[in-house]
Order: sequence, then structure tokens, then C-alpha cells
Amino acid sequence: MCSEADSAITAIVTNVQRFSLHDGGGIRTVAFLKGCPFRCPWCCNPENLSFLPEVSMNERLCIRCSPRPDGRLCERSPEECPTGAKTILGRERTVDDLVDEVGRDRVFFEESGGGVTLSGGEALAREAFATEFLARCKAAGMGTALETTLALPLTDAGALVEATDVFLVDFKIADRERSRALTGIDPDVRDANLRTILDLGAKVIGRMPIIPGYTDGRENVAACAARLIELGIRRVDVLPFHQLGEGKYDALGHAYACRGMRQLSEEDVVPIVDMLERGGISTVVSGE
Amino acid sequence: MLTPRTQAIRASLFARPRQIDLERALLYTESWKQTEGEPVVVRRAKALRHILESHEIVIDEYDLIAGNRTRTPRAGVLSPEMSPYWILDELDLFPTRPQDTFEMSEADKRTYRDELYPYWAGRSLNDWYRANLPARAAEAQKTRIFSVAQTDKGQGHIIADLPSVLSRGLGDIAAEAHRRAEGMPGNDFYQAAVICVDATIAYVRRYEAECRRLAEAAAPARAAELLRMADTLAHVATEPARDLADALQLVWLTEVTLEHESNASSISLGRADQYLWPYYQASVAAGQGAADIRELLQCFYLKTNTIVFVRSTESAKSFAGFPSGFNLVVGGVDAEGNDASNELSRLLLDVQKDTRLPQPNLSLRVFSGTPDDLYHEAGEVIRLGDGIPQVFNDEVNVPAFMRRGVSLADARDYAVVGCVELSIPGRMYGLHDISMFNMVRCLEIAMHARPHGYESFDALEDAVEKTIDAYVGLMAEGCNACDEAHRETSPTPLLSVLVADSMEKGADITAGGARYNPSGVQGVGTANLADSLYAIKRAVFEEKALSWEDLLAMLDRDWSGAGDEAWRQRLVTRYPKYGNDVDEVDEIGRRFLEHYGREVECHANPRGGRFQPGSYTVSAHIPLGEACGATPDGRHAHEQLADGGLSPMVGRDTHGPTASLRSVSKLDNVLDSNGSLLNVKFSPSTLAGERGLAKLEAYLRAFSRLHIQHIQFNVVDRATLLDAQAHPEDHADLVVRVAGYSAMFVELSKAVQDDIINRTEHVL
Repeated sequence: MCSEADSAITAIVTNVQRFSLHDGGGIRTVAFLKGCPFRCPWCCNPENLSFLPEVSMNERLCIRCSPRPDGRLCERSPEECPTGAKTILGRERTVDDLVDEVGRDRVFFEESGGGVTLSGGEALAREAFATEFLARCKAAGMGTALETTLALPLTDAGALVEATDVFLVDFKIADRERSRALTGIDPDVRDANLRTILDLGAKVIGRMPIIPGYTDGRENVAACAARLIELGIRRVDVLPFHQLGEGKYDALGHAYACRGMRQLSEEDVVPIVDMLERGGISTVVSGE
Repeated sequence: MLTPRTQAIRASLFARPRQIDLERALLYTESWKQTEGEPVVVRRAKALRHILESHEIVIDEYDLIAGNRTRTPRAGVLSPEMSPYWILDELDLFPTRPQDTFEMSEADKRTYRDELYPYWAGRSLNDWYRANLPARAAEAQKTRIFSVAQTDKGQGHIIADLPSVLSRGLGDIAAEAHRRAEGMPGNDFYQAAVICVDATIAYVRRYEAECRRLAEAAAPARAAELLRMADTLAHVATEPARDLADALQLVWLTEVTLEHESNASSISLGRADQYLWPYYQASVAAGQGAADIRELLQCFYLKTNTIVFVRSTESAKSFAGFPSGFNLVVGGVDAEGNDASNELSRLLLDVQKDTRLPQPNLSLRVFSGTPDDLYHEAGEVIRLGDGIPQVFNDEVNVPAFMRRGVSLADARDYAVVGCVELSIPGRMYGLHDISMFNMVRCLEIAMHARPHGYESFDALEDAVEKTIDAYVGLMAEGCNACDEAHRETSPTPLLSVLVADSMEKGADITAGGARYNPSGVQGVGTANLADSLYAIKRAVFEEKALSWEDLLAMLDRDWSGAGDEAWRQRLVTRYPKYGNDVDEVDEIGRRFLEHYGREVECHANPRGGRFQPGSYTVSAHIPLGEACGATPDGRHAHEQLADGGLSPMVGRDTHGPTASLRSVSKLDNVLDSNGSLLNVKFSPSTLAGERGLAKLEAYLRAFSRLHIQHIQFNVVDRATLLDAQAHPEDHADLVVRVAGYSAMFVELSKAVQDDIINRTEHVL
């Protein structure tokens, strides 16, 4: 892992997803920065955990162009792969380059009230890049959103708030020790940062992934809600657990703690939504 | 919702298998035999008159609008006067052919073989065409680069001046015809015009008489309805329309009469929200209730589904499933450039929610000032998944016409004929669907002309352009022979009366009577050509990873050699494709479609007009693909070309629907004044809820700002998802939306795919 100082202003980007209808309002383009210091067992973007480019092998696209006796792994390099089954995830991009690419959909952002969402991994692990990128997008007239745990120390909160129209901040496990043990996230660090950016006038929406056995307990939800209220955050996106990441774990050859776990429907999260609403928090279930 | 009446009408359309109906052919032939030696335009008028006087008219139990072309709905009308040959070849195949089947009785088959065929063989439009087609143009068609259409059927693809029919009435139009005929007795067209218009008036009165006859025996409620219909018919036989009931009745009988005249596809309906508006207002002012008005519009919409068009097996491949072309346009700008939409525009869109049938083929015109609520109404209908309405963009289509010398006011009044062809209602005879041009075949010919390759990529591009130029010229010759064949054998005097400026000029539209006289030819294959050339540029010329000879060999054996499949996959996945907002490859598409268009513009037609380019395929990307071998974009031999016209190749647009719009926006869209077609695919869940609808509306507004001519939407069904699961390589572009997240379908695990498939079915 290289430090911010000598990396100038580049970051490893895995994907720029256009016409993304979630992660902020309107038609959006989401840029995913690679690398996350945390390890949530249910993570649906396992390709963005490591800070380095890595090889992914999607067996479903493989045409067995080279012999693989006894079910051995493909020995060819990603450059040689004809189908893209084996591919390198993550490419170093400059801010300029990335701003140009996301700017291609400006017409759609303007007409839909959408814009750019910076996601990850944990985009604030590359705070200088993130701030510069969002600031440049905003200066170009695009709406900006940042999806983050906010659980890392901030170097320049003022610049970040200036550049970001809306922060989408995770509320996962409320109990500090349990959170640190299971995910590495320290909610106290997040909350300190939240107070800072809220004081600076940031608009914040909470995001609560509902993961069976991890975050869906009544006590945890109540504790998250209390924290949200205390901070003055009155809007939350409720994200029922899904298995869209399962295939990616296979392709990366990573272990997956939530394999085979049942996906949740909108109905499944109704009790949680009711609880939040009763507490005075307006919710949107991202499932419609 | 449909009413009990309109439910019954709708059910009756599909109650019985479609029949072949020889009535018109027999009447036409009977008249033709009696008019030997007379001027052809007069003979055509007399044939029409004979049909209008004699064909069996039918008023159904539930009809509120009269007018039937055939005895049973959706029957097929054969025109041996256009070409008796394909019909003879296919006589036994009508019930079993793969597309557009009809039943035909043995007695009718005998009649056809013994009476109709022997008379028309040697006398038809097709005979004239073949006798006068330059040999080199005939030879060139064997390459399957182009094939001239309308050489065995009516020309159609036109909109009559329906506003004038409604505001003047048939009586005034007849009076003008008589006056002009008396003033210029030697003008055959005027003589024919008199015959046709008088016959049309008499035809309307036949329906009136039939209503009165039926009323005598009907139950009281129905008798009252029939007498009201009779009163309407008695009035509109000569007088201008007074209200919506008059207007819809007169429009429909005008359409039916024009179908009797030329038996052609796509005698379209134009801007109905504009010309029906005063009559709608009159009905509302007179106290007619919203429910009655809606039912009347439902009846009218259902009528447009009673007429289908028989095509040859070959033609039905390209135009599968009866695109009879009752295109009906709402919205857009008025003559001053302001928003023309009104309450009726919204209602005409909304009635589609009731009828849910392919006709009328609704089109919405949009421009920078289109009101949000009109987008909203259209979005709701689009989301039903019927692909209706399609959307046209004034921001590019009005300037496109002005580049062709159409006046600003006329350009702002454009409408749509057939599928996506742009036309000026009541003022243009545009031969809009006269040929399609297969640019991918030109690439194949240029490649095979040099077994050892070209010295540079530029030299290859030049060779493709020169091939295009040569065949465009030959296509124009072929189209012009067909144009003249219609003039010499099949003038359409009634239609001409209803197209400005034929009455002033004293000439049938087939002889140049219309104000505007283009010929429209479609350039097809932009996506496959761009993808193929870009792959060659990179793999052969820049990376030198693949030799020209090896590439040609793989194409010739359709990727069947050892290791070919790996190369094919590499060509598919490793080089960017048109439709993903990648400038280098989009630029190749732009260059060639523009080159084609500029070459097309160089050619003139016999009516004093010029050729103009368009780019659409309807379903012709299937047969045009059949004509092509394997291509360097990784396409298999005979596999379809990219659909639509401007759409990316299926499965190759992996960057989503905003990227594909951006790619299309880079083309010179103003050049394609004949019309172009873009298909965009969404999963139903993407468009679900108010938020989904809002995004569709935003997408449409962005489409307008990007100056693309046309767009239509497919909402993806379960069958597609199942196919995507079995053949992921063909569906790399499929974005699905589940549990609040969008994802590429092929990247999901099977379990999740199954989940999505099941939920999608639930949504549908």
C-alpha cells in the first residue's frame, strides 16, 4: 500500500457504473475506488477490499481455450484471456481522467437531478483523491454524493463538505466492541466525524444494511436509531440483505461468510422500518 | 378500461383465423377488363369506383364507426395487379408459412390459379418494373446489398390531408375536382379525380343506407344507435365534420377508401391530436361525456386493427407481424414553434392503456418545451411494455426537413408514416420505404476483393466507401424503375386529390403531383460495420496480432477451425464496440453512416425529388444478417445484424443505456431525414414505481437534448432472462434491478439469477 503523499492524485478504480439508479437521487454514475480498511462479512463488493489490482476469474464465461486437466485452474494471463472471464480488476486513474468519464452523462444528471456517487471500498481511504474528484465534479455542475463509513480520521473535513452534496453514511453495528470485532469499524470515530461535518453544514443520509444475525437485531436497530436521532439525522435508507456479491467472491477466490444466506425482501424489513419511523426517522427501503 | 361494447369488438378481431379475401382482386380485375384502352389513371379510378360500389359492406353488432375493408376482420387482400407471381408461388403456403399466416379456401385458390393469375401475368406493375429495370441494377441486387421494395405491392407510406377532408368536407373537394375537370377537359388526372371523389361520397352513403336497413330489424337501443350512425354518415358524405363522432367516422372511411384504392401498407393517420382537436372541443361543449368520448376513441383504435397487410414470405421476414402502419402522432410544436399538445394528446395516449393492441402505432413528438405531464403520461404507457408510444424528437427532425428544402411551417408539421419514417402530412409523397442498403455486405465485398489485404487501414476504409458509392448508384436506378412503374401502371388518383399540390398541378402524386417528392433509402449495419472495422484496425493493422489472411479464412469458415472460437471471443470482448460511448469506434460508425447519406443525396428521382437517407431495419436486421457471412466483430455467419438501425449490436452495449444514447448522439442525425430507429431495453423493475417513471422521463428529456431522432423501449421479459442465463455471451448488456441494486445479469450467481427471473415474472 502506498501512502497518499507519493501517489500524487491517482487512485485505483475498479468500475464506473453508469445509469445507476441507486446510491443517491436521479440517474447516477457511481465510481468505485478500490480498497477498504474494514471487513464487513456481508460485503457485496469484495473486489474493492484490497487496495491493489487483482485477478478475477468468472468460470461462467470461460470457454476452456487452454487445457485444464483435473479441474486445474486456468494458467493463462488475463491479457491472453479471449472472453474476459479472467480479468484484472482495478486500474490506476487520475482525477482528470475520472472526471472526464463521469462527465459524459451530465445531460442525464441535469434532467434527473442525479449526479456522481463516489463509492468503494472506502473512498475516504483516499481522502485527497476523493475530495479533489468530488470538488471537480461539483465545479463542473454535477451533483455529488459520497458513500462512506466515515470511520477514518479526516484530514480536511471542510474541503470534503464543500465538495459533497450528500453523504451516505453507514450505520451497521452500534455496539462499539462488537463493531470493531466483526467489521473493524469504530462507530465513535464515525460519530466524531459526523458531528464535524454536520457542524460544517453537510447533508447526511444514514444507510442501514439489514443483515440477518449481524445488524437485524432489535437492540442494534434501536441503538442505531438512538444514535441517528442524537446526531440529528432524520433520513435513512434501509438496505435489505442481498446476494449480488456471491458470484464475485467465487471469481476472486475469496471466502464468503454469508454464502447461501437467505436474501431479505421488503416485507422482511417492515418491522425495522416501523421501528425507525416510530422513532421519527423517515426511511426509504431500497428495494422498489 | 374497455366497455362491454369495445371488449366484444376487440374479441371479435381475433375470434377466427385470418382469411385470404379475393373480393377486391376480383372486382378490380372485372373493372380492368372493361377499361382496356383508356388512360391508366382513369382505369384506376374506375376500378376503385367498382370496388366501392360492389364490395360487401358489414356493420357489426357493436360498431359505432362504420367502414370495413374486408368481410371478416384482419383478412388478407391480394393484389395480383401489383404482382401475380409471388402469390401463385405461395398459394399453398399461406396457412403454414413461418410468419403472418392466413387461411385460404380451395375454391379461392382455384379462382386465383384459373382466373386471376392468367389475366395478370404479363400485365402487372411487377412486369413493367422488371421490363424497365436496368440490367446492371438487376444484377446488383443479386449481391443482396439492396433490394427494391414496393415492386409487388402498393406504395403507401404517406399521410393524406385529413385536416382538409374534415374542414372542407368531401362535397367541397368534389366540387373542386369537377370545376378543374371542366376547366381542363384534356387532363386525365382531373377526370380520374372526379370519378374517385364522387365514388367516395356514394360509398359513404352506402353505409348510411345499410345502417338504416339494419335499424329496421334491430332492438330499440341498437336501432337508435344505428340511426345516429346513419345521420352521421349522411352528413359527412358531403359536409365538413361537426364533432368528434363525425370526424372519426370521416377519417376512418377515408382511410378505408384509400386502402381499397392501393392496398398499401402505411397510409398513416398523421397528427390526430391536432386535426381532431376542434371536433373534440365541439363534442365536449355539446355535453358529450368523457366516458362516451373514450369509448368512441376505443372503437376507432380497434378499427385500425381490422386491416392487416399480406406480404410475401420474404417481405414478412423484414416486416414481421403486420406493421400496417396506422401511425398516429401526438405532441410536438405548432407552426410557430410553441407546444402544440392539448388535452386530446394525453387522452389519445391514455386510450392505449385500454386497447393494448399494436395499432394505431402511437408516436409522441417531443421538443425542448414538451410539458412534464405529457412525458409522464407517455412514460406510464411505455412502461406497460408494449413498446408504445415511440418517441420522436423535433429538435433534430425539424432541422432535418429544413435541410431538404421543406418550409419551416411544413417542417414543424411533420408526422410519421409506417414505422419511423418522417413525412409531411398531406404534402409529401416520399417513397419512404423504397429500399434498405446493407453496408455490412459492402465491407465483405471490399474485404474479399483483396485476399492479401490492404496496405493500410485507411485504404480499407476507402475501399468500403467506394463499394458503398457504386451500389448506392445502382440502388437509385432500381428505385427509380419502381417509382416509374407506379406512375405507369398504378397511379393513385384519390390519394393524390388528398395530397397537396396535385390538384393545382393537375398531376397524380406518382407523376410528381406532391409538393415534396423525396425517395427514402435506409443505410443499415452501422454498428456491425463500425465494430468490424475497429477490430480490424486494432488486431490486424495496429497490434498485428492477426493476419489478414487468417482473418479472412476464419470468416470464410465461420469460426469453425481449431482456435477460431477463442479468436472470435477475443474480437467480441477485447475491442470496444459501438454503443458504449467509446469515441474511437463510434467515430467509425459516424463516418460511414454519414458517407452513405452524402452519397444518397447525390441522386435524383423521376418526380423532381432527390434521394434522402434514413436508418431503420424494422425486423430486416434478421434477413439482412442472413445475407452476410461471418464478420470481424465476432458475429457468426447469417446471424442478425444490429437491430433498429442505429442501435448497438445486441449484447455488445455493456455500458448501459446512457452510454448507448451518447454513442448514437455522435452520428450526424440531422442527415437521416427519412427517419432512423433506436431500440432501448429496460427491465420492468427499472421502471417500477414513481421513481422509476421519473427516471424514464428524465431519460427521454436527455434523449431530446442529445438530438437523436427516435427512440423506443423494450421492457425485458422472462424469456429473455432465461435465454440470458443459458447464453450469457449474447446478453452481456442486460442490466437488471433487484433489491434496490442494479447489476449486470451475467455476472450474478445462478441462484440470484433464478431469483430475478422469478421476481421479474411477478412484476410482469
